[in-house]
Amino acid sequence: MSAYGANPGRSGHRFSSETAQAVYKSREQCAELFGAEPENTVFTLNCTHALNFAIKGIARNGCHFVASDMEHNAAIRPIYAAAEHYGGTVTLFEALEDEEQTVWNAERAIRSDTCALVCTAASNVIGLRTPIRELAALCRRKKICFIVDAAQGAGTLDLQMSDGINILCAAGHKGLYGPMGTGLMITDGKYPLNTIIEGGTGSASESLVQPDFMPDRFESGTINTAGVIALGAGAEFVRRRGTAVILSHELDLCERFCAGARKNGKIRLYNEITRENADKYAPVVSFNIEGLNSSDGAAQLSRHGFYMRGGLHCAPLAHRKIGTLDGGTIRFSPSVFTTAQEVDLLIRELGIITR
Amino acid sequence: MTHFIRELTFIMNNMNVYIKSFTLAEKARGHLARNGFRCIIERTSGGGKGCGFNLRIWVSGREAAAEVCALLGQMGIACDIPR
Repeated sequence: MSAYGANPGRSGHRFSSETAQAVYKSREQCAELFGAEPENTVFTLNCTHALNFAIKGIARNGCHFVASDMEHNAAIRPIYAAAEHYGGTVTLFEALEDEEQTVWNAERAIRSDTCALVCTAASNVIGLRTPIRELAALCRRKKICFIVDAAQGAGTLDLQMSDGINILCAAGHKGLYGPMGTGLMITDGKYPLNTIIEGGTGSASESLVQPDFMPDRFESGTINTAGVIALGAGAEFVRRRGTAVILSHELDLCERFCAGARKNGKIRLYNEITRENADKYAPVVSFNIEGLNSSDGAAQLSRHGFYMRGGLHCAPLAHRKIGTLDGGTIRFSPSVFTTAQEVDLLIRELGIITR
Repeated sequence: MTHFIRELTFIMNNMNVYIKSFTLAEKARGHLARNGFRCIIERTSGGGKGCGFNLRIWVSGREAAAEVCALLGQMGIACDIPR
């Protein structure tokens, strides 16, 4: 901001050019992480913003959407809104640890009027992963658009556009270690998308019509420049560390937490991550403390220096799936910076709370 | 991609390629630079084309220009050497 913080691509002076190049570098860094082209990598304000672009962009009259039974509101709300607007319908399929059954459930939900299958890469409540490659193959066979909500998976799961994903949406502030107010929509260019926001792009300004070229088509107005440049640094950090290394570290911590919590008879775990099932899960564990609702439990932990989210996590479908729609859960979701010692301290604190 | 290129001029020792999108211009600049061609991006808004970007490429001779066009072609950017 202090060195060259001008509006990128809007002017010809040095500061604008330098900022534009810094934004491009960030775009390249983010694109590389997912095996995408920079021009198909759109910066958004968050994953919700990206999902709205994708879902409402693909929607047509009578469009039938298919989605899993554990989608975040960031996906399911625009799906229902688009269906209502276009006179379409929505079918949810059950996602399970059994990947073959999950794909079978998805296939049974698809109809001749289905235009898109929207699926989270992993639930933000119970961490259950979906079989992305297999679902992508299914969508390819059925000739429908495959949209992935990668908010919980980006930065830990190895998600590549070459897996067959048509549109990938990600949050900048979770596993990509970027700031809040950033996100990504990455496309493979196969499905043209209508726009839901039009405006100045600093390009083709003589035209009163939104550009048809990417990424400008979806980047109207001044972008969150400082945030985007920081997001690029986060993506580069993840690329250097390696998603496999990050995932392994975080899953180890989840196993450690589950093992410790299991010994405490007053902690209820809703998804137990063990060495045997770790490949089915992203590093997220939902739990509750006996006698406390999730918000009170999270508040108690916060008073002792452990900051976790309690409640429904904007994912009522997932909570309905595990029977916690009434009170929600507390979510344990370690980062690459969390240590085993911190997990042990958390277990000890839970022991004190439940004594 | 052909609509990105509106004008290609060859003057003395450089070529000018008009590109609508900064992202594509920067991608092209990097691709050319990796292949030994120095170029800069200039913002332009004249000539009835609206706002866009001029890729000024340092090149000497038609053979080099042809190589530049081939490199841009690898990115899906159509490029014709002026007669």
